[in-house]
Amino acid sequence: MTQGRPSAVGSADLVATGVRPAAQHVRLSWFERNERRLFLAPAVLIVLVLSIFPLFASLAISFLNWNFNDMAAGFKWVGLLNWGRLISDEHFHKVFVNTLLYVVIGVPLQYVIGLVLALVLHQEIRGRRFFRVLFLVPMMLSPVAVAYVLGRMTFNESQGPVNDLLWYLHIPPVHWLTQFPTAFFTIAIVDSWQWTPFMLLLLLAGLQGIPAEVIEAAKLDAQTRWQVFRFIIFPLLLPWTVSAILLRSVEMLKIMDLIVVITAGGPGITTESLTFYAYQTGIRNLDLGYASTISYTLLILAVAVATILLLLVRQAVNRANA
Amino acid sequence: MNDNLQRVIRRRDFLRWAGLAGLSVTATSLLTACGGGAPAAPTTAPAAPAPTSAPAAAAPTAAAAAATRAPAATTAPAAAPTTAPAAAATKAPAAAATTGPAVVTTPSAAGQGAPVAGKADPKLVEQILKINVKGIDAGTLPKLPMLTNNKFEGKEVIVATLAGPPISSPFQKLGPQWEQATGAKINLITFPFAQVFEKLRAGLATGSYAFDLITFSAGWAGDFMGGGFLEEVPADIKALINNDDYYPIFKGYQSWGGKQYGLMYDGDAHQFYYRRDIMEDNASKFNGDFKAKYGYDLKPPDTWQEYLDTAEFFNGIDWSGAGRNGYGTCEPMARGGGLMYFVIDRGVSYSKVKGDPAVFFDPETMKPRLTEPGWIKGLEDMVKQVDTSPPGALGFGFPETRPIFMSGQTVMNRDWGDTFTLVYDKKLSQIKGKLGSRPTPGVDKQVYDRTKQAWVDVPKGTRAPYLAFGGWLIGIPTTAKNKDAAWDLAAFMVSPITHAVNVALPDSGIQPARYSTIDAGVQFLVQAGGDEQDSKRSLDALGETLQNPNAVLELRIPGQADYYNALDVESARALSKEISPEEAMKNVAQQWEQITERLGRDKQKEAYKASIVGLQ
Repeated sequence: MTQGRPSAVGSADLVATGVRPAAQHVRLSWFERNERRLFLAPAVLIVLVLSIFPLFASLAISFLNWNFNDMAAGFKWVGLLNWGRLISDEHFHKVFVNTLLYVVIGVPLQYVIGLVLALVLHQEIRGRRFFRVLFLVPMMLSPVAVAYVLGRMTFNESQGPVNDLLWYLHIPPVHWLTQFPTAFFTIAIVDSWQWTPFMLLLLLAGLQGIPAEVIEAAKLDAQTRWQVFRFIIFPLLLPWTVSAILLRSVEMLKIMDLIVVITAGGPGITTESLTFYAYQTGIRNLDLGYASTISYTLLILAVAVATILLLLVRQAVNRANA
Repeated sequence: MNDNLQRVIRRRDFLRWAGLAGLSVTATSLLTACGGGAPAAPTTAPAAPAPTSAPAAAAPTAAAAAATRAPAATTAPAAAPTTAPAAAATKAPAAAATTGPAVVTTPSAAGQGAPVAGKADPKLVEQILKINVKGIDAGTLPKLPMLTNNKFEGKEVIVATLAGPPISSPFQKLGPQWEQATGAKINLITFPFAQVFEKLRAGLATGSYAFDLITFSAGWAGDFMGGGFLEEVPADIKALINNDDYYPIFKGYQSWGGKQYGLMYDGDAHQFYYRRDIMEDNASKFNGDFKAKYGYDLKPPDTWQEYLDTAEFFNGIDWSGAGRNGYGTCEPMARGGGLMYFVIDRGVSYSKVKGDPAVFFDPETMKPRLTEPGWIKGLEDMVKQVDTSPPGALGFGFPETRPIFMSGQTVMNRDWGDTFTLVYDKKLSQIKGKLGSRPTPGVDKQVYDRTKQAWVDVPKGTRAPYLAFGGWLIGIPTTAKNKDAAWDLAAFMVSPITHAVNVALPDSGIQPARYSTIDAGVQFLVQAGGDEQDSKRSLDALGETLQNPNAVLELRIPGQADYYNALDVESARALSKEISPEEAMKNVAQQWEQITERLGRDKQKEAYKASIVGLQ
């Protein structure tokens, strides 16, 4: 399609009247010919400026040494130096593993709790609508507020209620924020508290999308409720499961706000994530080249995790269909 | 054309023009955002200012003639036996070539142990003492005089500073008086300590208008002053604020490359605090057990080893008689909470040889000294200190350690001068009248000499008190929109009278940087609600620190915050026993090398050399 819109006169009519089509064709203005492009242009421009340009610019910066403090000096081409630094940077290795651990520990935890809650709220129980709203509240709160109140105050080692409770139970205080791996788990717990509702929301929507007749028929055939869940509900929920796990995994890979408030990456760097490290390197140290390199590894990691997840799920779906 | 067709055309026209209007608005916004009106980043500002032969604070140390008029002079505690022997008064070279920081005059050895006093204009001191600060400990604020009659009706001054109360509270508490007098408004933007530097630098580096006035560390001068992000202080402002009233160390911090870009708002130095009711008044109660365990009498520690012993002794026993076990000491140990300053305290104590001011780098190569045994020993000491601290100490920054000491949970504390005013804060403190203070501990046997690459004996012991952080300065960004109003506010906030009142405000975080404040000293603090002995001892300790010729000044080269951040992170790893102190220092040194390379070794070397000219 090259022209803007069809002529008011059909081409078949023109042939029938013996008039050359070009002579009868309504002359379109420049705006008419380009109006679709013009309508699309703002969105394309925004995506280009805010997403595509930074994507390629940061890739280019990863090959440079660029110091914001000395703008007059411009930037210096350093080739693969920043990428080479990744290999020898022990700090990077540590935070890379931390980031993966956040996903491996946090996402399954949130999925399991979210699924259980979704199954419960899918039942005809009293106050179901109230609980549905109540369980969504954590997701609506500011992560910084959650991190401070739940992370720093509740798990405060000398004045927090959690250790106070342990003291009443004659259990020695736990170093929730200042020892590895407890500090790591504290962050995973706080993150799960806030984001399990997201899992709940998606899985509940999935459950509500399963036709009641299917469940009823399954109940007739199955001997136990577990079998209904295992062979009917769970496979039917798989598309929702994939979406939920994929979205949370990608989000979890970018975790930073909770870490900054709860432990600032400590003790040492045992709770630091890749995003936090990239932020520190780029915004604090203004080592933009290396920060871009770290950010790119995060992108590669996110793509890899998403691909692996999708492959695993595709296999599971195939098995279920078979 | 029929009606339908006309409707279609009208709808199309509407959509077309609406689309075009949307496109125009979007394009205009994007162009504006991409730099339409914003000035470019100050690329023309020299990263390293032109050489100058007239450093701003190159005057001979004035405190050499430390007067005896200071109220605390006669009650100063006996000088610590480990204090460095007196040395000849230091003069900074008159024509120290520098492309970087201003030469900061070293403290004088003459009159060591005496308070820093006697330099102020007596009329100024008299004016300060006339200000009624009674009730300031309970929140009653005095009425302050304005420096000018300037009016800035309708103007708004955006102030970027530390999240309070320290440093920002004077703007909140005393700022309204300035607002009322000038008609301008203060819009306060605050950042947590761990983020102040990066937020300020990011705000300035964009080259667009973000702030009208910023407060920043003396250590960040290389980045902010050297980076060309700040306005030079106008002559009329200098005339307004009694610039000569500043103590030379702090006066020097205001300049870079011979030009003054900042106004000293707060003077900082680390001190050591202890409970004198426990370690002096009731020492006999504990001395027997202490001596049996450590082989010497209980006393306020003068060395790091004594500090460690004392903390260990008091940790986990009910020394206060409150029916609960107390703790030995507390100092910031959290990453992002000021930890690196306390690591440096120890590192320089073991690495500072008298006459060699290069404690951070070898000035000839810019190779970090951190892998030397002295620095490693310092971090090892701090790792041991974790076990003598309250639970959760690894998560404490200074906002946490102060209330812990004030509430009587630890017998010792290390801090800036904040402790000696917080101690009479009625809302916070339970230890008013029980505070003892000394300079930062030192060493009694050996220090590591970089030139000899060996430990050398210091038979009389030595102290190398570190003027951590250097203090907070006020600067006006080149991109500020309301510069006149901002300078007026800055002058008001640093004027001798406001400065003295700020010092007296318990939670202001402001410590004396002026002779007049020190001269008004004890009398003023007592009027503000302080205990006479608490105040006297604290000012004595501060005086001893500021006059110690072996004092270590803040690292003041570009990238200082980056160097310190690396030290902060790796020290935190060592404290949590994730890696050994030796490994931590090796990692820091490696990162310092990378930062130096990134910023340019030659430039950094030049700046570092300039920063230690005139020091000993």
